Amino acid sequence: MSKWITEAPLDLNALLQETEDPASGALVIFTGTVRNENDGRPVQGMTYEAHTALAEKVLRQIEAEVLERFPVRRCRIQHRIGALQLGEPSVYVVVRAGHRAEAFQAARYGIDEVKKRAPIWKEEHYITGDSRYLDGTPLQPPQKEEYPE
Amino acid sequence: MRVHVVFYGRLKQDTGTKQAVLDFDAQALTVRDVVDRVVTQYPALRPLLDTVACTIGAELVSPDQAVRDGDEVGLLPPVSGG
Repeated sequence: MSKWITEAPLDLNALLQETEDPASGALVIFTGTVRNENDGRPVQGMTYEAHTALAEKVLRQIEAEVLERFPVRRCRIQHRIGALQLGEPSVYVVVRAGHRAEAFQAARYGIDEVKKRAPIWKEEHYITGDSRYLDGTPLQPPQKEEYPE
Repeated sequence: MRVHVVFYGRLKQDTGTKQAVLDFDAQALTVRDVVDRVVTQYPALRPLLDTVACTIGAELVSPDQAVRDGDEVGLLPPVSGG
């Protein structure tokens, strides 16, 4: 299973183990889950698709930025792709820090950047049998300092 | 030159396909040339172009980026992960 993008159900325990840190007194976990309605339309599931190679690079980069920009000690981000049912987690942002304030801020930054920059798309499936791709954020043209080799 | 084009997200619906193989006679090619050919072949993409980003392999690239024989060019609509 890939470390950043996976078709398998996300494993929070594995992420918690991976980020274990006795010097951290705060652990913030953000997770996004599949909601049962959108714009008033009942939803029955969601399909996530990624440009996997680029998405892995972007998530890795965001983890590195979180550690650079905030006084936090651990950050892991993982996103699921494929067909998800209602309530299933689609993404985890796990941050551990000495104290809670920076852990909350860093996790917020992490998920906000994922939503803006990760090449991932959602197709929402409605109980009426039809589906649609959700509108999103255009990716910015390449900036070498943002996606270094 | 042969270029593999991959459509992501809603662009698969707009084109009706996941990918296309395009052959070019040109000796030198840019991403812009590839996109021009793609919209000629799939006119439904034209109104979306302002919001479409391009990749070669795992790199986001600018329209001026050179494309080589065998490259895989991705067309990426606005993203909606999370």
